[in-house]
Amino acid sequence: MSQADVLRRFAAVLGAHWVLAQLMPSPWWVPNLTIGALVLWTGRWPSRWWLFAVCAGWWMMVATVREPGAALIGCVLIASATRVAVRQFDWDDPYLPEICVVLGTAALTLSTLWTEHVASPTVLALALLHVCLTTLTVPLLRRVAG
Amino acid sequence: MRQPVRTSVILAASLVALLVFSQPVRSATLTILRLPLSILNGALRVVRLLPQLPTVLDSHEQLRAELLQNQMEIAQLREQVRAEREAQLLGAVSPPGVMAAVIGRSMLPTQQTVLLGKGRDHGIVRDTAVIDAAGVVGRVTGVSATTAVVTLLTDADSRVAAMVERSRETGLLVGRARGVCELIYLELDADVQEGDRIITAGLGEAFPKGLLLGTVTSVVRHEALGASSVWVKPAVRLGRLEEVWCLATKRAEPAMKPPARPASAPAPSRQKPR
Repeated sequence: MSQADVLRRFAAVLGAHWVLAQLMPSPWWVPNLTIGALVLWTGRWPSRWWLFAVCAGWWMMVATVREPGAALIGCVLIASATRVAVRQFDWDDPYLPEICVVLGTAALTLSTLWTEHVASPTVLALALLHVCLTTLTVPLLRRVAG
Repeated sequence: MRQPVRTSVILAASLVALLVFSQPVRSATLTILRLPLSILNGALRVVRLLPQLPTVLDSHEQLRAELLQNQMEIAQLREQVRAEREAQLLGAVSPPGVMAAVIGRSMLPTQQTVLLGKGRDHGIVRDTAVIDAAGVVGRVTGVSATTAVVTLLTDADSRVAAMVERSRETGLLVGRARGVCELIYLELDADVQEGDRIITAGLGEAFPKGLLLGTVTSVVRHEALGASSVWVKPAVRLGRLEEVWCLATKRAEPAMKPPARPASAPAPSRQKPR
């Protein structure tokens, strides 16, 4: 697969995230395809992790009203952590991508809730739903990544 | 060993550039994406409307009949008003503002925001109040030349001075990031009950007094704290916004003028309220 194809598919998933956000009545029901794509594409092509991190971070910055820098840094940290995981473990393990997506999405969501002081039981339940929905999209994203 | 060093340098430079120029990058991106987002949003609206097509014609006929009836009632009321209080009512003017289409919604669940297809060029400034036919939508918190970001009432950062319409108890309406708002800073024995309408208190420059915010769904008395809090369901369906009205603030008034009277409309002696 050429680099252009890889980036095109990556951009398509980011665009799909935006489309889903417009269709769903609440953003809590929208799986975070941006983080899912970031993790899976970084795991598949670890040498390009910085490119995926910058693209995903830029896209998250566009969608973020408050703390855009934090969204960018969050994407870079998630991509870095995924790259470390790829080096330490076998990426072909069926559960490793799901685990990385769960940890990445949970870390980003919970840290945002903590900084904005909105961590109530109901919101935490919604965050858990959000993480579960994101994880359910991993098999589909793996197929798109190739 | 040069490859990792070069990669690190490129990455560091990219990150620094994005961090330093985050606002211009966002503004430029939103300006560029405005047209494709508008087109895509229009296509999505068509997709959403397709299942409702069978009922649209029936609704259309019903609405036409209601419109005709309302127009007749308005004509009769207008005559009564002209006879009794013409000078006061016909002197009222529409609040200045601009209609804007919602072209995008936040992808992040922790930030409840929408993107409008109009911005500074159309007279929208920061802290512009945004309303709908049903009530208050939120406030503009970010604006570029051709787009504006609106923080909804349900966002965690949203703060609006509010009051209970019936009892005039005042408090602060804050968003709780899960589709509802909470009215806080009420006394323990505040006169508020389920079903009460919550309106804007008119404190500060952004929101005029009397705009509908929502309806009380539950009242919680915190005896240990000596205060009450009230859960409020927003009046506007924030998940289905399509077009909103941006009220002019005092800073934006010169750029926003009341809408011109159409040439086909009958000529009243003065401007009529909307």
